[in-house]
Amino acid sequence: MKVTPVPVCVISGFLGAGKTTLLNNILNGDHGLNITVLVNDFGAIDIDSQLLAKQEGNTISLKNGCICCSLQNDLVFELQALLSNPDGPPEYIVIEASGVSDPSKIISALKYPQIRDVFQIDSVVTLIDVQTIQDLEGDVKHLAMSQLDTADIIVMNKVADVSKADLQRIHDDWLYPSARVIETNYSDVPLDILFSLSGRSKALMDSSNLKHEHSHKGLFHTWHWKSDQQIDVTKLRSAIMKLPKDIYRAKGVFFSDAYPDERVVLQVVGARQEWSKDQYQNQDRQSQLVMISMKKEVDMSAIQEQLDDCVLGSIAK
Amino acid sequence: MKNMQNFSSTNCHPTMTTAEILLKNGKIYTVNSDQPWCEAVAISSGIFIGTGTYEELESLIDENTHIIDLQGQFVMPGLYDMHTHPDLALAPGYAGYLDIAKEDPTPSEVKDAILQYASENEERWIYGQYFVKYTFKREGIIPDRYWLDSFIKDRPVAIHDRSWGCILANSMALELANITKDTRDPGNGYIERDPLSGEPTGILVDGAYSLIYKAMPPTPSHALERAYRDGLNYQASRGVVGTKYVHVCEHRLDALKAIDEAGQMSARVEAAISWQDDIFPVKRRWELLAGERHYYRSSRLNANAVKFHFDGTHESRSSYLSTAWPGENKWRGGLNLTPEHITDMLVDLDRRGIRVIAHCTGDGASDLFLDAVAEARRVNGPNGVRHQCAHSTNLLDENLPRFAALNVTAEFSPVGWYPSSFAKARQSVGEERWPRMYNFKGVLDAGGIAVMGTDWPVSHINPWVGFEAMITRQNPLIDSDEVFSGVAVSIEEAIRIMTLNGAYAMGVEEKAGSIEVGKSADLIVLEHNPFEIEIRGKLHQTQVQLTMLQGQCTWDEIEVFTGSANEAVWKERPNF
Repeated sequence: MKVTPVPVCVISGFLGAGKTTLLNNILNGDHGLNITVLVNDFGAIDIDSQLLAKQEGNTISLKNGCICCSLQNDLVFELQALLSNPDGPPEYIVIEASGVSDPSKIISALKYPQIRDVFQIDSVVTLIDVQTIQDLEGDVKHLAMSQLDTADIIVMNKVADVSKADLQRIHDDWLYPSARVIETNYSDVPLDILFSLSGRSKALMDSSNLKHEHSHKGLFHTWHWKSDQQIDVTKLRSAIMKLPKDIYRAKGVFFSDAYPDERVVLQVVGARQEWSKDQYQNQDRQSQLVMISMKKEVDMSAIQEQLDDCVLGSIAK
Repeated sequence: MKNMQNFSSTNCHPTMTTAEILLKNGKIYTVNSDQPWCEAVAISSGIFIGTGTYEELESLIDENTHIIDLQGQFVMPGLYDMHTHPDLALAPGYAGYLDIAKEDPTPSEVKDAILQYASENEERWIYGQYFVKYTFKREGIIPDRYWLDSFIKDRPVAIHDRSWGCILANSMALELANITKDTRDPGNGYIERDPLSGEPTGILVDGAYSLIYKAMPPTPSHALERAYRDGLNYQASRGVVGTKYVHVCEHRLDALKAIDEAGQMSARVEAAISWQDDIFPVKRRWELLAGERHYYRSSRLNANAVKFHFDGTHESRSSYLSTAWPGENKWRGGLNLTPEHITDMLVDLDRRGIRVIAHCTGDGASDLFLDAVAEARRVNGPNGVRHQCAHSTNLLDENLPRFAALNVTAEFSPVGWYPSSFAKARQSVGEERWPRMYNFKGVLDAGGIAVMGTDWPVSHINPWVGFEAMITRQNPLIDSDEVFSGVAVSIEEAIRIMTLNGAYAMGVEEKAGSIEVGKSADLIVLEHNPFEIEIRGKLHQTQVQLTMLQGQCTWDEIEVFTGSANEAVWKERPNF
């Protein structure tokens, strides 16, 4: 029996980068999800007191979820244990990586064969404190590189505290071509970008066939692309690598004669593109791609052209 | 030691009427209950031929006797470290593997370093460290087999990333390791694959890099020899005369034999052949166990033991417990081998006189191990083979008398029994088990044999740290009043654990381990008397001034043998 994998959001960043603020924003958010949070130790977190319900053993119960202080043990075992929770598996998991540990270890563990079918990485967010990042040296600098490397989305936090020029320097010194960056203060990250499952994020992805739509008080824009013809998947994969950097999420299904009984599925979360394929026997073989940006003016003409260029011709019936 | 070709036999033994060496004016703690203290010892042909006062031994002196005045220094039998791994700690660093010695190497620096190494080294494999994924991302390059293939196709390449979270291999390395789209992922790791084609990308994560190791040539013999030589050198400088190198293969045994033949085997070494291939492959395991191991045998070296990992670790909650882990309904930890496997193996090896050393951190694993030994006793009868329960992090109280009854040695490794990050992780086992952690005292009081192993590189190879901490159960390395759970042992008990009990665990207690007439002349001279100092914070810093094994000087800080035919084997302590 195929189970629906539990989505996992991993938050990394140094102490003081704003992880706890983000965590509080998440726990206070109206995403409608019951969230289980895994942290390294309770001492390092400072959860809004009105959210707390009770603390028992290594778990703090919250009004809309719980926090387990258990990352000091083996993450794989901890995650497996969550699945056998008598109240059922968690709806959504947020892992707050310790400020001193390498988040790539968490990401690797989530892909181990024993758990990769039951958990799915929804997003990996790395917060950077723009006030301090330029001063890092040695092992701490190495760790920052690993945090940035692992990130689907990089949150440059506290941007109001530095000049435009300094901000640009951080971009030049630290970021990479495929980086998806959100500049914020107070870790104010739109949760619809972080969570694929939140009500609005789902609504955005599943919405109608409009070519271009904007919603959520103008914060998000979506673009749709579709084709009834078969697709050159190899070409498509390199086209998707060139998505505009303002696209934070995308989701698509594609059909090709190379995969006659399957459909190719794409999930884009920030800088990460996740391809998969699954069995598909249905007659309806329309390829579709929906993309979400956070900026109003995104030049989609180039990507439109590249996507059109992946169309091979009519699908064999 | 093979190069001392002066063996004794029934009708042929060296005369022992006069002393070659006489140490006098010492405070000699013998660990012999019939004569706990003496002032002088006389040594001939590597054996104590007299212990007592100088006056009592005077008749053993002739014109060739080397008389050493200890000037009141403290002397005791040499130490035994019953579980350690110099090869694992040192050999990789000595192997001459590729080291891209740059702070944050860019892809082109990685490429240049690989090509330069390739041109300078004839070994087919190019293995080493490290690349940084982030620098590849900065340049928009994907670190995969195709990138490596683009400049080096004809030699296998495998490079670790900086955090050792993955290894990057080229197509030839994957091919030699037989890694294809059909290869199954190992536990605790995976082969990164193209999501649509399933083809390996060349990135192997965590446990998956062992797939590459298996295909690589073994650690070069020069690196293994240097590692063991440095390990022995360090151990001699800390007073170790007996040790177990737990986990060896045919290459490691070859390295140890080379050191033995060069006269540098400065401790009695028991080398335990790995039962599993989980650290490195043992290609000649069955030949070794069938009898090939005897080719390595000397008075200083034997390979009459095997080592296996029965369960996991407390840190990963894979220690196999007698009940479920805290917070779990069913999870008791994991066994790497079935109890039936262990029982059959134990009965078989026991019959052949081979010691079985079992990694058992959880109280459930040691319970099963003792059951297997009990079955071996039932089938084979009492035969004197002493098996060894390694680590023994947690033992059930009910099992304490079984160590004596079944003649099993309980071995404890130090970083666990004083407050340290390891010990704290091990406390996750639940409060009710805390009093039973590292229960030296329980084993001793029940009549059993407890020993200690440094388990380097898990903790440091200096045995004095654990020596102190088993008496204080406090962290010797930091100034803190925190005391670790469990019962401490007395200094007398600790000395016996470090000496005679070690000899017992190696099966040589009739010949060594205490200062007695007829026993091997093994002793150490210390800078201070442990009975007269404050143990806390002090004992672990003890400097060993002289180490002797079979009358041979292996370490000599006070230079009493300088210029003699018995000059110390080692002159300088390696800096680990």
